[in-house]
Amino acid sequence: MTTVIAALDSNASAKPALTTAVALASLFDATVVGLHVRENRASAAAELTRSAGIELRERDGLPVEQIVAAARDPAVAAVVLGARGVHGGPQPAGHTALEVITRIAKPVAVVPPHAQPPPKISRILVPLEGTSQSSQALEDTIKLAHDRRLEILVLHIHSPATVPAFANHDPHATRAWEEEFLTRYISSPHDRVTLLRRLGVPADDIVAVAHEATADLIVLAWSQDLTAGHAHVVSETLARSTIPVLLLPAR
Amino acid sequence: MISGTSPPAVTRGSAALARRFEAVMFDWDGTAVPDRRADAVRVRQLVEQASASGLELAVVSGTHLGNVDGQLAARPVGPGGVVLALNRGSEVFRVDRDGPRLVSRRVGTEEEDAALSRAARLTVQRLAARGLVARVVSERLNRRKIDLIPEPEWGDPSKARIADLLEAVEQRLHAGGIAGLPEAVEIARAAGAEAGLRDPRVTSDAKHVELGLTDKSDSARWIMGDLWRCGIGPDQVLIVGDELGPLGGLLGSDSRLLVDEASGATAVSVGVEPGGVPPNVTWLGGGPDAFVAVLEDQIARRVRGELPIVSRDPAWTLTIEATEPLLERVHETLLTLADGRLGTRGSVLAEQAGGDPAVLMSGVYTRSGSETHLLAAPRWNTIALDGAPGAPVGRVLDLHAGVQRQVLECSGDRLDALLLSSLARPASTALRATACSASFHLARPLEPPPGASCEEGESGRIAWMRVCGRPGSIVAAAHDQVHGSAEYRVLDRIAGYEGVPRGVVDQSAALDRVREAVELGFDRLLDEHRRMWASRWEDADVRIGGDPKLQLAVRFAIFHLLGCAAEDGEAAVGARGLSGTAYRGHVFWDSDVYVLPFLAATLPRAARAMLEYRVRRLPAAMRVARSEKRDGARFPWESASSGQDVTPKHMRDHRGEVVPVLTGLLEEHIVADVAWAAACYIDWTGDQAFAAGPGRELIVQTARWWASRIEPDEHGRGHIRGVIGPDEYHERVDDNAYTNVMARWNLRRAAEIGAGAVDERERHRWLELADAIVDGYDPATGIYEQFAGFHALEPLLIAQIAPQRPVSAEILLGHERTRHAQVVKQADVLMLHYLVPGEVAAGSLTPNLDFYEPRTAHGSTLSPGVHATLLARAGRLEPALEMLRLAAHIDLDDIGHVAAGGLHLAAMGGVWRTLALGFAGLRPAGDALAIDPVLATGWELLELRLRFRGSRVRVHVRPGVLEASADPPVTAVTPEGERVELTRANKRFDLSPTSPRESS
Repeated sequence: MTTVIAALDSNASAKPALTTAVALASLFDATVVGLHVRENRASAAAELTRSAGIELRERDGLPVEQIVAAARDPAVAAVVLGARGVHGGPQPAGHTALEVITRIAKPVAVVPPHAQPPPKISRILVPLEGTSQSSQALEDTIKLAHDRRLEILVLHIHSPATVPAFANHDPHATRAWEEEFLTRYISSPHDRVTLLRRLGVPADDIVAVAHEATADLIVLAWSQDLTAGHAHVVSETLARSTIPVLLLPAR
Repeated sequence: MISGTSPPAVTRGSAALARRFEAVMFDWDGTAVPDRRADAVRVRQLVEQASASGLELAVVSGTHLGNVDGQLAARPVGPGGVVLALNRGSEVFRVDRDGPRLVSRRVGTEEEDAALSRAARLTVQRLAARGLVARVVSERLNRRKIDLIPEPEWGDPSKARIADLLEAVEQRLHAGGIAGLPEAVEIARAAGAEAGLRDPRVTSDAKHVELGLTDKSDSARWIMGDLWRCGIGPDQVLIVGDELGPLGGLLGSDSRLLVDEASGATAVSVGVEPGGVPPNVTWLGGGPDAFVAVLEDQIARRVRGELPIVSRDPAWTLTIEATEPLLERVHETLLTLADGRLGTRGSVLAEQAGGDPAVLMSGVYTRSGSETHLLAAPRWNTIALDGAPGAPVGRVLDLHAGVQRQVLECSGDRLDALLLSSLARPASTALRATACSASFHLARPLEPPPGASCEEGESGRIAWMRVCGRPGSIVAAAHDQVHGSAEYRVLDRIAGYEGVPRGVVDQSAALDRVREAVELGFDRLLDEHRRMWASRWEDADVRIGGDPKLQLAVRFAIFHLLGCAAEDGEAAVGARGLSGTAYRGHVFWDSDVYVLPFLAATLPRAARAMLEYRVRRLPAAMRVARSEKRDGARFPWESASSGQDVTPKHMRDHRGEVVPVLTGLLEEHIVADVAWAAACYIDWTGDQAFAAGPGRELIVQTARWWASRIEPDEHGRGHIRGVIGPDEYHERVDDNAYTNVMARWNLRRAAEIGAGAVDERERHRWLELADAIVDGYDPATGIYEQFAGFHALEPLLIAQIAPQRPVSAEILLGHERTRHAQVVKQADVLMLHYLVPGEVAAGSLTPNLDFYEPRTAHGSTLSPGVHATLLARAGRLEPALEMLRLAAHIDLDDIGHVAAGGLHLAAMGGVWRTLALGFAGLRPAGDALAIDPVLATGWELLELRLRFRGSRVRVHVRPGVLEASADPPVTAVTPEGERVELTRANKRFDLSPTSPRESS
């Protein structure tokens, strides 16, 4: 049985995390299993899962270690957890989230505490930088999204250095460029894909476009490297996003 | 070269011979026959069989026709040609079923003949002075033969006794105090020089010293040139001799066959070669018996269906190693084979991930309005493989022969294939695939285009498949034949296409095409196809010495330009030609302004066919003009089958927002562009029938459009308001300089061509309007304002907003800022200097280049070539070369990731024009051809072949020197403005180091 683990703590993000896990489970054709690492204070996890009719597994120990251990189960398709415990404006993700995403080589959805995810995902935003590595990481998820008939918004953000060189005869040139971009980097059929392009900085613009396009989920491929000088886009997106962010490790 | 499948080796000895050659050049005496009395029946049989199998043969001999033909007596029927290059390089005969026919003879002048005799006598005297009795034994065409050993024992020694003969001669020479044969030859050479021969050719076969005006190197050069014109390159040639190594301290007589032009050929010696052979020659030994075995082997390889190799010359081949899924569509584009009617993307024969295979027919569209696009045809270039899909090892496009070679790895076997789209019979294609085991099987030879429903049938052993669009339809027919053995299987597939722009096409024409081609067979189809390609290159090649990367890129461009338009009927040349589906096959000004000039100067019939496309849509253009309550003809910005505008009305921009597309409404300069194309063709070809007929009609009706379009103001000035110029960043502008000046040119040219055919009052009015129209020129600055108000826009240089060019500035700046800034997508004002330099102010090129070029984003692939041309004309050679390189590599390097959807033919035309006009300074000047060349730094040579007014013109530029020839003669205008007659003989001009004048 394929499962999606909803790592639920005692913070405000537990509820949106569980909702997100349920929504993701239908994408992965999986069952949601709650995971709670017991803390000193009272937890809402039991109540949350009980009311949602979801199995809850409780563990003792360090949260990160327990989540990582649970994710090792081959039946686990994805993990969902809250970004941090506090509401408010842009803030970095919490240490638990940051550690988990670097250690689990599976899709991990990070849910902001103030998120209000819908029970069903219908539109995902997939920022695509235009490299084979990132597109391969996204491939399976995009295929699932296509098969589940989700609307797939692919976002490509140009920098001044990557603006296309030529646009001979619009609209043909724009169409040709976009068709080739999608063909190169998305192997699934493109009938449910819309390409959005912006000029800007990915770290700044992904969240804005997700908001503008009313996306339910941001899907990002990444290297799982949070050391200095790496994953700036992921860090910023996690800090600013108001909707869940699904991170897919690039191999 | 990609090494392919080889059949079981039957040639003993050398690996160098274990492949098929397309031509064999061989020595006669000692190589093909032991001596002149030998029975040559077997050689004769083999020569005739080889010719029948398509192998080209050339016999080279020092002796005369009577000796060789008397002994060989071959009467080949072809298709392979047989040439006798005799008399030591002075005569060439072609031999067919009727016997030998003289095709070339070097006739010495009386002075040369006398000098030869004098030199021979002097040689004998000099040898006698050293005590050596020698004798002039023959005085034949262009040569004199001196016997160094006139003794009965050595009267006619066989080649087998060459070592003994050499020893005897050396003994005689030593007795006279002569060190050896080299000294004897030197004595003869000095005598030749003393007698007044400019280039005495002195050779020795040990027994004789021969003095001549020619030698076997002349034969070899003639033969290699002839083979090249058949589409056969040096590496497809086998040279066989018996004296390729040194002899008595001299080069062997057959070593003269190894001329520079034969560099890359395989050379083998069947001789004794007592001094060994040079490193580039393989020694077989075995004498004539070995030669016979070589010929037998070559015939057997052809009979078995072995494929020829493709050229290894990097200046003529594009090689794609393996496959890269991300770039596969780009590679398919680059490797496209097109014959003017049919285009086949260079897809791997076995379906590959990432590919977008397509076969397209010129002028056959489906759907209507802006959705009109080229109808995808059934595919002939797929092979059903047993087991796993084949993995491509490599693909090579041979630009000179117009063929594509593919090697695939499949199930442990290698599949080797050669494909062509016949230039000799357009819309016919052929492929031969070979494999050492049965890795392919017969399946249906045609594949339907993706998603299309096709009607299928069979006629005899020919399958056909029809795809119907609305309004066009295409039918393909194909015949498969598998032959060979279980160890070596050969598939020959021949296909034919027929399409109609409207209605349902009947399959009979395609079936007939296939039947005719099957009758000929693959080898003959290949032979006629590569001859046709070679012939096109004879009139279109450009050589650049000192820049091999650019050389290949230029030939790559020319190759695709030569294949983009048919030579008869009408040619609808879309922006991407027949190489891809991007831009839907729509015809833009790209064709008229950028592609046509190349064809007008290299393949005039194709240029005429392109114009016929416009001529046949003139009535539709006139209806559009009437519907807009104007006169004349308004051609559509985007055109397809009907002649109606098919420009989309809306588009999603890069942000995903739907925005209106105004080019179809406002980019009116296409009207003058069509007229310019007609005039360009007339100027290059002098086609009077066209000029007095449909060409005039095109120019007159377009002028009438402008005459009714120009709006006079209260001051008597004329305006054209609300247009889009070539710089499409600014829409609905007034008095766009390009549009206005092109309209002015159109009116003036119409008045000129309409003299005597158009009412005088109308002509007079045209001239008045032309004089009245504003052009934005400011004499104080020398700058044309691109349109009214351009100078008031935000001043902006591209360097201020982008780290590099080319760039789509509109994405960088956004629509609104772009429209209000002095940012230009592509040449606009400068197009005037490019197309109609006579219409712009003298001296205005430089200030306008200075002003506009830094403001130009080059966001269109059309722009770099235009700027390269103008920079070269302005004497700015380094930036010109930089722009040329950019233009030449747009598709090859997939700059901007835009090549997957097809080639950028207009950019390719711009590359040629940069070389022809920008660097060589070639342009029609009335009935003469103006030449005003400059060479880029680092170039050792720029050579162009082209046609001007029915003459074949060659222009050859080296640092400081221009040479030009024309056949038949034409008038040229030199850089100094002098009119001179160019003839077949090269005329030389010294070039001054000054910069070229502006083309205006």
